Amino acid sequence: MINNQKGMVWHFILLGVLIGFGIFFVMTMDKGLDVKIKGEWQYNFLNNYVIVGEKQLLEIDQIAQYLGEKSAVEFSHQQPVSAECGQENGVTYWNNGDMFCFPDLVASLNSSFHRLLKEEFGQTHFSAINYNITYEQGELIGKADHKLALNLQSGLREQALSNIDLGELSCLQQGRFPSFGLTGEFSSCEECPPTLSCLSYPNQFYCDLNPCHQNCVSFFIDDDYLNCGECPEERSCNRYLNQYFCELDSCDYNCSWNINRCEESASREKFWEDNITEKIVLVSFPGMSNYDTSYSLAPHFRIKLNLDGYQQLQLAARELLNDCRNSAELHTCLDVNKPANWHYTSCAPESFPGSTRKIPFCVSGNQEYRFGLDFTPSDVFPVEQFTIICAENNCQLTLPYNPQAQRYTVHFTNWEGVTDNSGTADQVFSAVLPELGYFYETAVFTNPLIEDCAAPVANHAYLCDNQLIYLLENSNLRATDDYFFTLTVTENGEESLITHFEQATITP
Amino acid sequence: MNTKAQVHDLADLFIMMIFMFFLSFFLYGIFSSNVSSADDASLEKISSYNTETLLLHYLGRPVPVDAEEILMRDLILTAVNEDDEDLFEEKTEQFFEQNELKGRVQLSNSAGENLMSFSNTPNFRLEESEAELLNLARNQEQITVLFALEK
Repeated sequence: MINNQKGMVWHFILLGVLIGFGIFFVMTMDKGLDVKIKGEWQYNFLNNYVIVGEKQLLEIDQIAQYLGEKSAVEFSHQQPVSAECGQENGVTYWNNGDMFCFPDLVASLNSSFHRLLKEEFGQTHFSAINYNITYEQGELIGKADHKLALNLQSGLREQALSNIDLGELSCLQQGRFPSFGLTGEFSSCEECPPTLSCLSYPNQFYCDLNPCHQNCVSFFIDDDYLNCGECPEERSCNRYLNQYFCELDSCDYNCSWNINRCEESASREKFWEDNITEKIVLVSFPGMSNYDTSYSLAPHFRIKLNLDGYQQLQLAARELLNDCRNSAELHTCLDVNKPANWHYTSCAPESFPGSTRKIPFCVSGNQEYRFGLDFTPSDVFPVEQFTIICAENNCQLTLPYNPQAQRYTVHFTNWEGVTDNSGTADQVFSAVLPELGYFYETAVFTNPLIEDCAAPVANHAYLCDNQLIYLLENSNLRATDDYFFTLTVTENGEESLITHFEQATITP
Repeated sequence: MNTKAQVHDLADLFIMMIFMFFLSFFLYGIFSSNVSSADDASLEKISSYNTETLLLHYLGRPVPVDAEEILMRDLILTAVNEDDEDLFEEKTEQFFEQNELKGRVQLSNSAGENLMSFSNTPNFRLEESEAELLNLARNQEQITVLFALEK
């Protein structure tokens, strides 16, 4: 036999290599090479937090669009009342004399948006958010005052609990086991049997929840849930599919997730084990990375809302007040000057309110606005319309009723020259000279409030058929003479000027 | 110098090289199949994420309707409320064509009834994603938008 040392070395090397490969294959035969999926955590995070967050923003956008439009309609129909300008019959007035109280659009939208959010979406967690709302260039912009946390302690917790039937939830919280009808709806609540087959759990949710504390775990095939089965006797953290199952550790192998793999570790506390509500939340989202992972998003929205018409309305209201405030014929003035889409009282059918200068308007268009303007004049209107019929010692004056009037003063004289004068009563009648046989007298009567068409009594005013009738009795009013009458009205303590006289001749 | 021994050694070396050659093929096969299956899983997850983002893009896309632009999500609700399937199909088709996508969009109500659908593929093996729309004009009914793309 030839002893070839060099050849032996080669043989041993070859043998060593073969043994090495042999050991390698034996070790890896069952386990594969354990090549982990790249980006699994990142994918889970994106899919279960970022995308969920984006879908929540989508929901916020829809709610904001709805509430924004509803708030705009509310604002256009009834604006907040200001103490200075007031409200009558549900109509908010935009002015009081010279003072304008145009409602603050943004403050009003802010207020109604949040009120409607709580009224109509109180059951959603968005209702707890306060938005700082601004309106810029046709867009309603809302930014939340705090971030919304998306994790299993909040955000998703309410969603998980609301997804379960109340009876089913109550049953689970009592430590019992719900049973279901043929169509899958909750039917009754039963005690957990001492030995329950894992197959009795109807789905992955119940298998993971394991309310009867059996030794059960979810089995999968090609990432699809297969069934609920008993935990394998061989303890292997590696068999848990992902971080969720690793941390849930249904089989109590004492596993924990280490960066990208499930490994056996020291015994750790599973705080959800004794709290079925916490466990319901945890197993409702099997894709969630883990109980401590949290994603926060700043809820916000930017929605198109056409309220530019409001600025134009303010300008038009100012112009109309300028044009018609001091017009005695308010209705005529408004008919001539108001824009065509402005209607009195309501958009259909419209009606002009009689005997008032506080006019409610309805503006038709894409956005229907309702508001009021107060056309109370800056000065009291002089009395220019009245008729007079005289007899010996008395004259009957008839004039249109003015509900704003407090009282009237009848001024009369026998001096013809007075008709050339105008101004205050003192100015007009100061030139009457008693030395030349002229007289100047007055009679005051208050504006009646109640309609009464009884026969006139001397020196007393009556309201009848919207006409004011006053029977003046005075011994200076004698036959064959001419007399010159005028009236002043006092409104809010202010007396009108004299601009007009009526001549009366007493025939015998 | 022992020529026979040298020939023997060379033969051993030659056999070992042949063995190593085939072994390397075998190992390559094992490694590559493991790695490629992990890669496939990653790509599938990326594809699923891509479907989710395209769904959000689809719902948030402004579409021109009667000389004004509205968002696709609002158009869907308008189409459902006015029972105008043609409008939904026309705008959805435009989106799929512009983005060179093949897939399906199906709208269903909270009772699971199919309301409208669009499809430009006969393929049934699709990557699916879902989103809920609140139909505020109909008592906050939820409309489920199922968006599926070819893998």
